[in-house]
Amino acid sequence: MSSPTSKPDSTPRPEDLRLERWLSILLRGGVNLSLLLVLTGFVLNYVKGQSWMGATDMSELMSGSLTLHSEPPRNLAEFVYGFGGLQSLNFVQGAILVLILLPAFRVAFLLGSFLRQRDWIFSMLAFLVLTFMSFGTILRIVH
Amino acid sequence: MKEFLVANPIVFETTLAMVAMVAGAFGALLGLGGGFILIPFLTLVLGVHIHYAIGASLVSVIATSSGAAASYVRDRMTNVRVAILLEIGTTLGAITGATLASRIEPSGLFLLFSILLVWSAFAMLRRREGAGREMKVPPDALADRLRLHSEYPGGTQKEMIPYRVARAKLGIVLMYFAGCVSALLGIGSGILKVPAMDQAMRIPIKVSSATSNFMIGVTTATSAGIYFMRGDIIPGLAGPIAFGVLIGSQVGSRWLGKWSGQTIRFIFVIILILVAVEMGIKGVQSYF
Repeated sequence: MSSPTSKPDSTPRPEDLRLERWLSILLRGGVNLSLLLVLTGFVLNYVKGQSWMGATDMSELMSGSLTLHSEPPRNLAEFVYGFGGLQSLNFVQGAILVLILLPAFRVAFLLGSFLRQRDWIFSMLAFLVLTFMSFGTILRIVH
Repeated sequence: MKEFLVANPIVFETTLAMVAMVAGAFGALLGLGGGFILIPFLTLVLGVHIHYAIGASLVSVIATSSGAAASYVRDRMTNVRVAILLEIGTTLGAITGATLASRIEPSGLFLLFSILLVWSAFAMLRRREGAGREMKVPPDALADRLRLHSEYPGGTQKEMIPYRVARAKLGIVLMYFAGCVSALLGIGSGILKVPAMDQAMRIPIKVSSATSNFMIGVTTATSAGIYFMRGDIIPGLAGPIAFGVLIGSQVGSRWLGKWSGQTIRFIFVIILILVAVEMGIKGVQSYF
């Protein structure tokens, strides 16, 4: 354990404690939502005889080739419509999206909290992290 | 076996989820992510291309990191301010790693993974709790200015123990490399992040582990975003794996907690070395 060498300014502020409580709820909720989505997909596969991959794609996947390409959902309306149509692939894609977006929401939540606290340095740091996190999306838009 | 799985997609999906559960359970117990078991399984046993295995592993790492981080944050073990500062380094590293990954030959990735497996095996052998270790904490103007010092519940009475943070700038640089390795190999790279915080920044080991876990989600989401947009995350592979790892890490650790940690660690070190040799051979083979 590290031992303090001088009097530390270590006591967290009440707003820090509130922030930690909300963060915990956000993380747990997001993880449970993604679990529920994959589970629904599993149930649909069993009940409706659907599958997340065709036989050709599975053979290709297990042949070690790099020819498969999973196109990210482009049309939001179509993607949402897939949930209504109980398409299991949409549920599993939704779960993956929730998981990838969850850390970004976490940082966005921190950014909002730092802004409320008028902690400008950490607001800027959180904004920078959020910008770096969206690099993949930015690349996609540029290309 | 592959033909049977191709003919029975539901068995394939269920098998993936079951293997991921075991990986998640052992990962939670040993402090490693599930990626250390999953990537060798997907590439060596199922013959999946390492890029797809890395993509699927990244999603599962986010799942376990977010699940565990929720408990750590609630228990006040995580230093959120340190995490945000260091994430500048890890996210930049993740962008570099994810961009490089598509340009590196699979053999190179196999070799790099093999080296990291051996490193992890040795790190597990000499893992210590850090209790009672007294280290001088050098003053750090940046850590003072950013109010990085905090306190955590420790000791027998779970009383709040104050601590100070040192060498914040060095921490950011080290995290850049950890983020890069994470994106290249599809692992959380807690094996690099925790020593960087514990040794270089003098953060108590429990806080280092919790803060590392909190950061892993952000690092892997950055690289997973790039893999996802590139089409390298196959939902039929990543979905069951994320599900299995998550359930395994939550439920399995309670069962496995009753076993002797030393015995499991010893068995796992042997497995890690064997897998490292196998992956190393696969990496070297393409050069001959």
